[in-house]
Amino acid sequence: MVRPVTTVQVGVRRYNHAMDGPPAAWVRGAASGDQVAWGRLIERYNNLVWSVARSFRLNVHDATDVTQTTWLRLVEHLDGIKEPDSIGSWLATTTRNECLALLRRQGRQGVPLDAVGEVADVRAAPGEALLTRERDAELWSALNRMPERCRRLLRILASDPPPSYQEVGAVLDMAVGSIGPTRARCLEKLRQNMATSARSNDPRSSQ
Amino acid sequence: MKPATGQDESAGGPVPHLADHAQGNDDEMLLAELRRAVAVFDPLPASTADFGLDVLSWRDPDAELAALVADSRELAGAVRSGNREVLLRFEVAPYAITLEASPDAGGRFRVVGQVEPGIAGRVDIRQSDGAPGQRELSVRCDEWGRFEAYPVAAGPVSLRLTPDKGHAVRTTWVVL
Repeated sequence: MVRPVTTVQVGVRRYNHAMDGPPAAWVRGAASGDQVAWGRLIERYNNLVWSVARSFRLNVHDATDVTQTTWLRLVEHLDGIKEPDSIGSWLATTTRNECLALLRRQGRQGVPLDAVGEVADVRAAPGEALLTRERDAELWSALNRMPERCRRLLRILASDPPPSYQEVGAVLDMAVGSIGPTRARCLEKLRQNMATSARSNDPRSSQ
Repeated sequence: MKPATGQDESAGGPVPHLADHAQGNDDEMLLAELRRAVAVFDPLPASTADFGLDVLSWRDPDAELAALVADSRELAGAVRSGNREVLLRFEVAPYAITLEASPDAGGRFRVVGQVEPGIAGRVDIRQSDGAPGQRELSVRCDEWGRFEAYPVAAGPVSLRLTPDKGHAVRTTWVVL
């Protein structure tokens, strides 16, 4: 009997959960030159790497460099990964270190950091229904008005597929046990940001 | 205007653990919405996945890895100027490789290198942002260990040194 197959959208590709192996198997496969295993690692973690880079407010160009460098770093160290089961945490930590190195190199006069989302353009999402589009734009703007630590945590948690708390903790230097409560507090702030912007921006709110 | 649900609950409503549970569901829903908004407004560039798929061919376990031991951009008190010249030094026994990378007007780099001790061989410069078909640039390194390469694309770069006699080494990736 054929198992029902669930797919998840990762970027523009789809992959099949029935084919999944543990990340450790992908790491071992990639270390022996298996391109398919390598592709699985990228499908699973590329969005996390990108999300971590963007959580540091790098602009698209710099975030792309960091994402590329992180994958090159993994190729460089494929034979020396000590805990292949935790490859997501390794990638998240490596991405963070690359972000910090880039910011250090650029110094204070580096390329300006990205002002992502401060002027979210609802027209940017032509495929969506208008109400969804407006809601997305409000959420994106509200996220970028958050205090830095909350904004970074939520941007990483919004990675797709959702990261594990180990991976999040690796980036933010947080104990895994404190991520849940911090997440709840930050989401509450996000709700308040949304409510504030609805009151101040929506001309209908006074009716 | 209706207060947000979170404020309702913190004002003392339902049994705490039920409230926690409801709050947990609300949080999951909000996070799912946020994930959708992020996918719309801050999407992962498809080019990064294509790039990642290509680079496994640079796996090179047989060449020893030379670590970056100095980067002029990381010197304490380094004064940033418009000049983006970069000095780098890598080391792996028995070699030290020094690079001086100077940008041209188009933002590409001229790389002048020195291997110590001086040794003749081939230097392959892997440039991940190089144009298709030009992602490896190969030059000769003379008997005094000197070499020069141009043009090298800005972005992540790694060198592989294959001495005429002796084992190959590679440098860790650095971003020019």
